[in-house]
Amino acid sequence: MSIPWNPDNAAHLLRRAGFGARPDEVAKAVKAGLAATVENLLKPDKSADSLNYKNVNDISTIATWWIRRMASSKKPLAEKLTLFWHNHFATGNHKVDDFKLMHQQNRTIRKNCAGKFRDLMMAMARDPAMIYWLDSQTNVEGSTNKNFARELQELFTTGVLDKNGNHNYTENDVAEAARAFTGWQSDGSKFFFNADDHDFGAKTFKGQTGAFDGGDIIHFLVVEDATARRLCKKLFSFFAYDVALGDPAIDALSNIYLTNDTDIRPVLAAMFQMDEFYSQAAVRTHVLGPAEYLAASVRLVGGTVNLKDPYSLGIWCQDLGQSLLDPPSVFGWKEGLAWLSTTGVLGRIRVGEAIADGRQGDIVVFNPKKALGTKYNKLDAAGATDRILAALDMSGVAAATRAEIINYMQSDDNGAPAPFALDKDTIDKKVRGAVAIVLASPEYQLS
Amino acid sequence: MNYLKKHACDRAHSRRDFLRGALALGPAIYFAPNVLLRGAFGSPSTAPRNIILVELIGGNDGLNTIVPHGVNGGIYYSEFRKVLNIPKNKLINIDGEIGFNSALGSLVDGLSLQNGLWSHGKLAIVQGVSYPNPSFSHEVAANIWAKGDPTAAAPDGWLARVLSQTAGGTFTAADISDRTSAVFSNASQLVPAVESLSSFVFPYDFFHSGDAQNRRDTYQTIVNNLSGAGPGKQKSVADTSASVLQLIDAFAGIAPIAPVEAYPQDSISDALQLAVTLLKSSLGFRFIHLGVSGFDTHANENAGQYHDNLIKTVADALAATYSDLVAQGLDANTIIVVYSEFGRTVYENGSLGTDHGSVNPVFVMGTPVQGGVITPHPAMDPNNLTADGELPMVADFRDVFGTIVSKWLQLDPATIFPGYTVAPFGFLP
Repeated sequence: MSIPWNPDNAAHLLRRAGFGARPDEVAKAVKAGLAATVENLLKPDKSADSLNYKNVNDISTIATWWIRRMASSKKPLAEKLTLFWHNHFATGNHKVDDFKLMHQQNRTIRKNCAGKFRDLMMAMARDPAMIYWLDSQTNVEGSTNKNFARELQELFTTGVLDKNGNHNYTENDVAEAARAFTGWQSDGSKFFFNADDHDFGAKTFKGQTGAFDGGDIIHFLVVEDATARRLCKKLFSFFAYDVALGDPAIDALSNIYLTNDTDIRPVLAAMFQMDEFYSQAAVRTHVLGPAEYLAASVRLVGGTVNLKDPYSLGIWCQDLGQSLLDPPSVFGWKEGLAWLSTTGVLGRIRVGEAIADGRQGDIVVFNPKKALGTKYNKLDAAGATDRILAALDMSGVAAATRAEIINYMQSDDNGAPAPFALDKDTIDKKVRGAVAIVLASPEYQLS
Repeated sequence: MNYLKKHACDRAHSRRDFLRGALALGPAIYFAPNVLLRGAFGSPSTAPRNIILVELIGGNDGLNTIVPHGVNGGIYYSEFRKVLNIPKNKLINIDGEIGFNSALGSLVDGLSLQNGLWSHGKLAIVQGVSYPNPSFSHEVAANIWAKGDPTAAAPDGWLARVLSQTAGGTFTAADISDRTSAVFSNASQLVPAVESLSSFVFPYDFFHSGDAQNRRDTYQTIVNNLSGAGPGKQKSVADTSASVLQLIDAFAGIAPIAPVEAYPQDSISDALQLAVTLLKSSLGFRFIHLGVSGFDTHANENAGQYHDNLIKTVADALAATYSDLVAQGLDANTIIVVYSEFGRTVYENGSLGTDHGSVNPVFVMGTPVQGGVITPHPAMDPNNLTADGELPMVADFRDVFGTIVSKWLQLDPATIFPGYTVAPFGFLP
């Protein structure tokens, strides 16, 4: 292993394992070293994530709270993982219709986000929002509902096909698993095993026969090779770059998952120290999803979220194509370039402008001086541009992009070259303007 | 105006406000140009042929949409659907064996008793549509339909393959969505996702308004520099951004059209109205896809409830769309196809719902369509179910799309569905 531990690689790790970092944070990580930085990133988040529901009254207020948390958390990896698992266990409030249960699920995911997958899977199977979402509530002996039993296998564990294209389970496995989960219900706020509705008879699941309960089915599934490989593939694709199930990069990670009793933390620690993680295939190839885009942008511009408006950040995220806590279906959101349709790009233009133009009382308040750093008075247009790009973690943009922003900084309202001085009006107009342009630009969308 | 700064609650209505705002100017202003344009379009037979694809996402319950109450002597439907069965006297009869769920009344007679698609013989119902070894996974099944390939292995969507053989302008297809559907995967031209015309503006926020044009020019130059070259994903994003700027200019020239018969007020109607607006524009749009979600009815499917309301909303929107196509002079060269990734289980579950099933009816509608019941309903007999306990296939979906490819688009269906020999149906001349 020979990963040069320099600002470029440190910034890359902090982008992927969090929501991006400003130059001083990158310098700190370089000084600490790779191993120590990874260790620090993986420390559990012990901060409180409860909510006073007096100020919370719908799903967009929870989404706003969560994005603020992503933008300001000292343990951003926990938030990034919670976002990853939210898409894995995609549960939507349009059916659950209970924002408290959605918040409860969000907390359950956060608590288990980097522990043993077995525990996370079990917690999700017993999670009230999930129980309503996939109809476990009405899955009863003699009249099963296969919704949860199918998605448990198709989406949460093995997947439909293994790396060679063979089916991981049969329709009969779905039917038998559904029987094992009968009686797994919610009492409205927590898990409740309803023995009256449970089928205690023998089930045959993947060649084994016994009076299985849902827990047995989960224990079988989480240690299957197919589950190990699929989870590691999904983690690698989200944090590093898109790979196929059979990619050799996944071999070592699946092994770590299986030899550590389904523990996710050592998988992540290894992944963040793989050569591949810092390769050309990885750097600046992850398309920021809407929540990531908002969290990163608020964090990098040093923005302040207006606490008097509990809705709008969540609505922005929805506007960008990701209605947090309310994904369109069990499949969650397709990641990658799918975020950036023409409508997706328009959203980045609009929201980028709104953040750059954020003044007192607006949704996100942005002080343009924060993008310039200290002692900016004597900077010329190129110097100011470089400060803005550095603040936004964009020092690596194409030379043509940088040149164009420098031109913009020193043009008058007719677009003609004009003398440049960072006076109050220029800061308000041009620094905000440059930030708006960068936040909408193609290069910024790639993390 | 900066809606981003307004209270969140105002947001949801922006698209509707835009459309309503245009209509508020009064129909008279917009009628005259429409009449003129109609003449300018020339003979419909030579006009480019359009398709609107409506995908019911989640797996529509076909058995409670076109109801086989009398198939196989009418013994089994109410056996399979003990609670969810719709009695014969609540249906709109078709042939004594099957009937429309009455929620589809507007497809039969029209929204205000004009332009009824079924009553005018302009609605074709192909029953029992699926493909060999059907998938019960939403994702896999939706992908199979999108790719036109029962293995889902094809890298490109079937409409993307159509696009590669279709001469056209810069933009030939669009998705009425915030995302572009897999039917357009790997398309040779950019397929924009359009949720509303009003969102196609830049700058949106005119802070320091004198500087706004500078910002747009700077953005345009940055995008142009990155477009057409550079690392793969960056190039893709830059290309899309360049298309956004192109579309902003193009959409600014679209005159809002006033429908003769008002559309219902809901998001499905809004989306279909936007589809007609794009077809009507002179920008070259011919193929529109739009998805309607909410069909994954594992629960609460009982009569007069969720599922009935949903299919009524879709039917009413389609009826209004057809009237609009007629009014705009687009009906002779536009067909609408409605499909879903799979049907639902023959037997209801214990949650007043149904799980993932196999076959489903596909609807093809429009003035050029030779309507009627195209294929018989699969046998409703517990002894005639597949190994998975579902209804057997009657028609392959590639024959349905293949009919459209060969007869409507006059392309060789073997090039769109490689390795499959399409047997065309008679629902198009």
